[in-house]
Amino acid sequence: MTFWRHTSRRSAPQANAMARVFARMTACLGLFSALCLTNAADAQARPQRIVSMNLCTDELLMRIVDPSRIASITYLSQQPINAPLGLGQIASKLEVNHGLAEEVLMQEPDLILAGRFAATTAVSLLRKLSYPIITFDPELTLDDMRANIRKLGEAVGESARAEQVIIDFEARLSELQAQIPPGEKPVFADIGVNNFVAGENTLYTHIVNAGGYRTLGQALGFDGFRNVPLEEVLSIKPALMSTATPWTNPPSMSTLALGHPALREMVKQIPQVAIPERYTTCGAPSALGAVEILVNARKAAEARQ
Amino acid sequence: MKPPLPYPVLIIALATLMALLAFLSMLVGPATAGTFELFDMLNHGKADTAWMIMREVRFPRTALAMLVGMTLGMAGAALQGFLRNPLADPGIIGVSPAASLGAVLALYTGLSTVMPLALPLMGIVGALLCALILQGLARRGGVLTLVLAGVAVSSLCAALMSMALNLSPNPYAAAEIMFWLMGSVTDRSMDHLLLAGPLMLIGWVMLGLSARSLDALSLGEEAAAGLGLNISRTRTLVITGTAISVGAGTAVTGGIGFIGLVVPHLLRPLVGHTPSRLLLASALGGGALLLAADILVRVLMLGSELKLGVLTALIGAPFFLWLIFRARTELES
Amino acid sequence: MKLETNNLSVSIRGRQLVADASIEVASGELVGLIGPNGAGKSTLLRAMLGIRERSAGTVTLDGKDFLSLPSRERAQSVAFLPQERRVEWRLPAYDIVMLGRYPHQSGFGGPTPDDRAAVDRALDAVDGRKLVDRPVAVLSGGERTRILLARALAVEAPLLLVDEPIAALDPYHQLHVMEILRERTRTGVGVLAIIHDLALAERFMDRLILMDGGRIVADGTPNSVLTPERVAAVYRIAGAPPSRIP
Repeated sequence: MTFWRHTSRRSAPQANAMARVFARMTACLGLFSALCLTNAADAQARPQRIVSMNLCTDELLMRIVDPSRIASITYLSQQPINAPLGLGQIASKLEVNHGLAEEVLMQEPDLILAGRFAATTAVSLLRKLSYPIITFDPELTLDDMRANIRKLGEAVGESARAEQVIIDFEARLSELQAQIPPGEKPVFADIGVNNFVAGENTLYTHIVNAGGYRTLGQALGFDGFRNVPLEEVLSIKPALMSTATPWTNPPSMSTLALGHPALREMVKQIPQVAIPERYTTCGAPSALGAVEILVNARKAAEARQ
Repeated sequence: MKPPLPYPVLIIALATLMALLAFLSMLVGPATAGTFELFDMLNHGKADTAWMIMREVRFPRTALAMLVGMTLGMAGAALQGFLRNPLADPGIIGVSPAASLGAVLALYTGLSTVMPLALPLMGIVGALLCALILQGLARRGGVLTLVLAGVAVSSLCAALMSMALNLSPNPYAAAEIMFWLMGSVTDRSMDHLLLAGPLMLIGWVMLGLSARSLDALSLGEEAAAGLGLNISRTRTLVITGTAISVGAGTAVTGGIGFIGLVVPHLLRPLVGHTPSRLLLASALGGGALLLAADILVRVLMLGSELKLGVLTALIGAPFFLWLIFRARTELES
Repeated sequence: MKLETNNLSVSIRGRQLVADASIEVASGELVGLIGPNGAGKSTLLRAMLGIRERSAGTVTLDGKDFLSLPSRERAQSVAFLPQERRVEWRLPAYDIVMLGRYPHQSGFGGPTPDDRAAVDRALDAVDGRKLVDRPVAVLSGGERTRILLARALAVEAPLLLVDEPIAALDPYHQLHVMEILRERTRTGVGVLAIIHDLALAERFMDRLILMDGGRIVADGTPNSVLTPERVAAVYRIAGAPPSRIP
């Protein structure tokens, strides 16, 4: 799990902005055709320049809407470690924003998607300037995910496509879950940033459960996120542990264990997987990536017995 | 030992510097929305958007950076004069942490998502409560009581803020609190300016009224009393003036430090060490410095956006160390 | 002009620091307030000025209640030079002396020509013209005392109360300061000074007030006050009274 910040980084060169401006001008003035008229009519029914200021809405937007209607996504989605499952190509071709009001204003959006907890000053400023903004709460369960997808579908006028995304998701999820061997769910031990461990009623736990495991927090019996001393982990015998992926900074169980002699033995005996944090950050179809890794781990463990 | 510049010349120079930096601040924007892009928009028929950016985004930002910088500079000079200590800073009386606590509570309870202006409003309430506590405690005691009370309030507020972070329901809320505390003027709106601006002006008036008393206090409290100084009136003006102005500023921007400490220190020799003259000079110097820092924040563009409060601390602390090093013999006399 | 106290008492948390003190100082006289450490001299002085809370008694200026006057008027009538020699900030001597004009200034205007003239007169009285541009912090003990005294003189108040004007000064400067005070009384100013040096007190003062344990024990000419028995009793020392320096 991770939580992101809005950060500034050099993105697309200024030439892109200028080229786009000129292209649109030539299109409308030079052609003076049905293309312009249809665009005008469509714009009233469906937003044509959608800006997403949130990593999770980035993904939902890219799945539901044609890239030509996306004015910008967050720059985070263009980073390799944060690419949504299967959308890397699409993301790389889009404009980006860094969560700053000025940037977003210049992109002239007709709809803005934002998360509840990020870039709040920018969002309130934009709201004050009467831009249409839809706020999405962070997803807690997969039901929340379905609700957010439908909400987004309705807002952008693509309810049919939204339903299809949900159907595809359900199908793939069922397919994966069918492969989970029967029996009680074993424990998957993963300690995240700042020693946060997820317990009941968190998105992370719901995703891990869907993959056939219980989380450390469930085994220890608490709700929400908590700091867990490493010694408490000793009392639980996990069946699976997480490995630090090469490009992530935060420590994971195995790197932590290297420092703690009591855990070193445990590390040697227990199989490990690497789950990119991006798959568990959002309640979105990317979660299937995490589910798949965990299901494969269950199958491997079953095969060993 | 005459100062190098006559006082009116110094004031005009500082005011000009501040005005220039304000002008520059209106021109600077993030990389994809900088000066060129803005002129581009003006030339291609998107003047409306360009003017809106200037009016609703850049102007409040510039104005806030200037006003908050002026407040911090002036309050720092006033406190140093009143406490007769060159190491005093508006934070020493606990007003900034109290304002931050109010704002953090608004974030923690989710009030700020329901009503965005709840955040600065609760910050102002926090600062005023702190001022009440200080006034109550200081009535019986002297300068030392005041400073210790400020330290106590600061510690309490810091502890409560840490608790809010500790017990935060999810990492997102915790991150939001953390980043707000680092201090920023990014994306502040006209609402913030209209809320904090008048309060800062009221604080300035109170601080300005205490100016001459600060000169008399150079001789010590007893001599000043013998000259007819009303110490409790001076204390009320300085404490309440600081609380209202710095409180309002912090409530809108988060924690920004070192301006109130470094600017008076730098300018003191230039005003002939006279506390009353230092007030206006520090106000202008503080405004200029914070504007410069905010321009730097937008121009630097490191990995993440560098928060304004972080930058002022990064530059201010080593610079302050250097000032002390240079002046160490003087400080001992 | 006469500043008078009547049965002035100061007590704090049950402890009596000054009890029933009735003294006066009038224009043209140089009065010394003497007594052992802890006798309550400084406390009495501060209570007279209104800097310290009194618990009983009155202070009158020419018969009118002094302490109920606005602080500005009080400061214009009675100047005060405390023992504190520390000046915060590296202010030049001239600016320090100009602070003495504070009770006469108002609002945001700078020093008036009257103010400047008064400062010049005060500097002349202490022979401090050469020191004006130097920061007070670097002046020697004697120089600093003279500048701070000039600050008190610049108020040009008819009465002056001084707490230990000659503490920590060498004999030359001690004499110099006493002479300045005496010169001042000749111009009509009334001076009340707390002083420890009995020889100088006897030589320069017109009148002495002796305090012990918070009470006024004697009040009169130096001869009448400094009898051997009294000195021995109050100061708890034996021996002849200080020799008379002609």
